[in-house]
Amino acid sequence: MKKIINNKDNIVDDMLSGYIKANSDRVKFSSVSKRIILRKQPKNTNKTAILIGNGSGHEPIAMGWVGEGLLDANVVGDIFAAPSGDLIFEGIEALKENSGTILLISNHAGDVMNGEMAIELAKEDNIDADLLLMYDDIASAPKGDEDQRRGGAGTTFIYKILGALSETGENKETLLSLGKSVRDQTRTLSIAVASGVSPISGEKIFQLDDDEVFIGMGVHGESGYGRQKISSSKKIIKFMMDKIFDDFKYKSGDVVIPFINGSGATTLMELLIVYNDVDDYLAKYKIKCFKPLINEYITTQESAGFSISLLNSTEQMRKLWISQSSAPYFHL
Amino acid sequence: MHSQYKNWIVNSYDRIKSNSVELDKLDQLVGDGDHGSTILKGMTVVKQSFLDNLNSPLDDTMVAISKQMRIEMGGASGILMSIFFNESGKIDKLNLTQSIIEIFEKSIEKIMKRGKVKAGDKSILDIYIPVLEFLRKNSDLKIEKNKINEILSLSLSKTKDMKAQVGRAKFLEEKGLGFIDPGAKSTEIILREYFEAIL
Repeated sequence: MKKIINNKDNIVDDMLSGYIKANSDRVKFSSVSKRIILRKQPKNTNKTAILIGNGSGHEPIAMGWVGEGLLDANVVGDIFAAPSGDLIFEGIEALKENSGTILLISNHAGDVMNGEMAIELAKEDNIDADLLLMYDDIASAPKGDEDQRRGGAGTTFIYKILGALSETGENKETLLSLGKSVRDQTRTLSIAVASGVSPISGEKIFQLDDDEVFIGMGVHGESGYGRQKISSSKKIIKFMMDKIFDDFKYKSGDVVIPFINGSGATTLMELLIVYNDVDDYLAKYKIKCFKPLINEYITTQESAGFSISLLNSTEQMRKLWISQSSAPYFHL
Repeated sequence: MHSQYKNWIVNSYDRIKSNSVELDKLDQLVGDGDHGSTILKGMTVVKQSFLDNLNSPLDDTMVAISKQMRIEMGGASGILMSIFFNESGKIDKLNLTQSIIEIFEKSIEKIMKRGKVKAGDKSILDIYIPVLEFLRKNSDLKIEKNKINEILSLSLSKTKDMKAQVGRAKFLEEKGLGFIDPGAKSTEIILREYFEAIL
């Protein structure tokens, strides 16, 4: 394994320390834990706070999205492991003066168990906090079982849109309801091209032959539609977009926000070629694209591959999507 | 029961330590390859914390240790594997078998609720449940260690034939079929040392 680290046990702490030093104008550690990242300038307490707990190893998400117009806090777990419910609760507690708190949780077993525990601890302390479960990966469970699906890159739409709406002072119930609409209107499908290396085990996370790709693989190498030989971007995009179109009914005139997320080692050159083909595919159906996000945001170390996420948007969602944010690693 | 529990924890730590590379390799086949490192981190704080609190009431100590283990490990394994430690402080020397049965019952109930998991899903429950069934059948007898050990070994090897219905292995092409569950393996180690120490 070739990775520039100091010591396996300190990877997460060293990384977070560097992140806070580099962005001290915008983010800080909470006073109770160096695994809780907060905004330097907290939002006004008459607004609802939004946070997420997640494992690390997927940077820049989610610590990079703490900032005005996005997240109020990120509770950071070890590599590929959710933080404990106790720690997530401390993150909620740091925001308890706010007018309610929404805990976002991407649908993965450990994240859900610990998130649910954190909400129970908050309720015991009479803190007003709700959990919003996020899922979007169409390869992980069939149509009809949407709530069994994994959280993928399309959860980004929820972070950004709820973060922006919370700044306007909308109440928690309205935020939760918009969050669910965004979730219902989002579809994601990913493709793995090559495995990254786990910084803990020093081993590849999954096995793929040199001429193979895997469509529908999750961010930790979980299975999806299966292996196939690598082909042109156009052919791959057609296969993936057909699957997304089988799953969701789009119609002529719809306006989608596309998010092409790289998994860590896919070049911007490739991601832009992918976007070009996605845009062409949508144009054939007279579906318009609105301000796409294209870069590496939700990564798994040096994994190669990407995901396509589409949000079938309303005017309100589009306005919130492009509103200002000071988060250090969110750039539209 | 302090001295028995001390043996349990110290010996479990030693055996987890010597098996941690193998557990990582096992997890490489069905997960992200770090179960050995993760459970070793957990057992390291469990051991240290127990040795630092030898004079505190056992129940308080085990509840506190369970929380430290959960925080140190994180993930699904931390929250689920710490449950048995949380319950284990309720042991009663004068009513040994019945109190062990209650510890197992409570642990299983909490694991099922928190993990939304049931028997046969290829998880740590597939170790706890067969042990509980045996204990219930033999509650009025002196429990034989070697019988328990047989059940532990058999239950662990049975997880090989199960398809994972929970956790990351559920999304593998073969759902982990043909491999034992890494969490079940570390649970088997810890329970083997548990009965070795207290019986």
